[in-house]
Amino acid sequence: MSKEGLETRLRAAYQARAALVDDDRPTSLDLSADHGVRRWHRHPYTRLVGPLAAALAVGALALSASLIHDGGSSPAGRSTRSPQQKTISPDALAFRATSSLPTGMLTDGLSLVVLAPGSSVGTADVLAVSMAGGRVMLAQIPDNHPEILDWAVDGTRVLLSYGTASVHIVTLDLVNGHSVEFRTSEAAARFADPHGQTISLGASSGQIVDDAGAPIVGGGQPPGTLQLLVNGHVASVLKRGSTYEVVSGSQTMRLRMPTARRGCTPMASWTDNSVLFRCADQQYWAIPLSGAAPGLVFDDTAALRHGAAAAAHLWKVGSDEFLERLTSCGVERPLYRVAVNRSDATEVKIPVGPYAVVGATNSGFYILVGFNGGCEANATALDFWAPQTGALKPLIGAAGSARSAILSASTFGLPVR
Amino acid sequence: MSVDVSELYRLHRAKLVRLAVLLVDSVENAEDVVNEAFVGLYRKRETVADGTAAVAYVRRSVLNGCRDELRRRRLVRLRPYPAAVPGPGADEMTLLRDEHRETLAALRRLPTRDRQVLALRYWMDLSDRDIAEALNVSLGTVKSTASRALDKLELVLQEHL
Repeated sequence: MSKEGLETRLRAAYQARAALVDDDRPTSLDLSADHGVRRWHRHPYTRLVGPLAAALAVGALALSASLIHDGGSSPAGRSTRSPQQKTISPDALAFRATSSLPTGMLTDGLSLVVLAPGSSVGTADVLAVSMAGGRVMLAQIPDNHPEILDWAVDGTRVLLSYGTASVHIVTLDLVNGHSVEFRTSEAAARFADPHGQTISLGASSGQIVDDAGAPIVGGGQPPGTLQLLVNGHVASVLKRGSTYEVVSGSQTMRLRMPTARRGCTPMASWTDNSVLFRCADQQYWAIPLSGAAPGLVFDDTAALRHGAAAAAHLWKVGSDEFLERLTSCGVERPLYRVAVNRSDATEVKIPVGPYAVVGATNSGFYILVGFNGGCEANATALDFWAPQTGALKPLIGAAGSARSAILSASTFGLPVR
Repeated sequence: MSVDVSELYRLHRAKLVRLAVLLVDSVENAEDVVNEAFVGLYRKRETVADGTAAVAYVRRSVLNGCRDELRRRRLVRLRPYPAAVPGPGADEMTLLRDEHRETLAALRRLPTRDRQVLALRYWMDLSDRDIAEALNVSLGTVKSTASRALDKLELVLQEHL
């Protein structure tokens, strides 16, 4: 290659890369009132103090005028503005994807781990960890109750959440690194199809806004109704008795609930065309996306499982079986293996000690356990556990800092080899 | 008389962030570096002669900040948690043409000083004299560094990509 050719190629690459940097990314500087230099903040409106800070904030606002119309601050909560207004909350841009996952790793018994590395920046890392020891950092997420909600059956998308009162729901595409973020008051979100293109939200009473804080058309249904997000957009949902008609563009789905009155919460994708819902705590229904009649999967009115089911975590481990952990945190964390075809539920004895089950492979019997003092939050290591043999295999540790913690985890792919 | 830092921030921030992105790859880290540079300018606002000198000061700070960031990453790689080192962003992985991605990947294999000189010359379009001032090196060093950096870049493109 000639020197001129190389220079031309170099200029073109620089220009192409630089063009990806958004001029409108809002930032500001934080200069404290005692005239010392402190910390700057990537997100505006957080702690601007002092006259120069105000001036710099104005500059930043001018740069981001296309995103910010009212220039005001918004509390970290659900937006109360009218649909015509847009605003950016302090943490609206806090999630960021950093890279995609090499597709070859999807078949390597991957686990996703949300880990706070112990720094003071207040972010947690979303890591993909393979059984062979490979790691890829996929994204960074605010260290504010981050959780892995679901992993699509085909392994390509993950549903994450963070926040408490105003829950941020993030769909992360592992193949290309793209992410879509929404805010809602409802944290019970699960994928509603094998590819993770549709998200079912549980009975929701709150407004849903996009990552720029703008209300999404169709979001915010009356309490007790079902909402679906199809390909990143809230579909309009028409309730006709116990049937929900979901319209997204030219696509229409109908979901028929077992009852018009009971609230149902999505738990997991059940088959290629149905979602498992828990209704009134004791009953599990497979709701077909085709609009066909729902099928009762498991009825626990005989109280085969003991304990509160309100905070249950559920993992499908076979064609007709699922594992369910009945409580989220605390001393009692009973784990049940539910056999649908036998209408049977048996308690699974986990290793003695401060363990909690935080995930299970979707193809086998290996259960990811967290070694911790209470729940998975603040765990310091994750191991794979083979209940048939009792073997524990170390997966990842988070030692090194008092704040290092594994906050959430989920597994996918092949069983332990 | 002190320089108007807020006006300089408004005028030059975006360009400097892009420069920093070309050196440290991550937009977030680039914003860190640029904001720290402006914070440094704010400290020195009473002593900087004029706007031109202020821009030169911030640019030097950005280059030094990028160098420090790359140095920090080398240290982080030695720790048992290497995943914390950011790589190319998802936007770069998905939105750039293959040829540009290859060029940027090849640039990452060059020493920091080589990357600085190339970015200042071919992205910022600075003269070699201005580059020498920004990097606090001689004009001859800039010319020789640029020439060698192009040779290395071509070699990396041929060998590794």
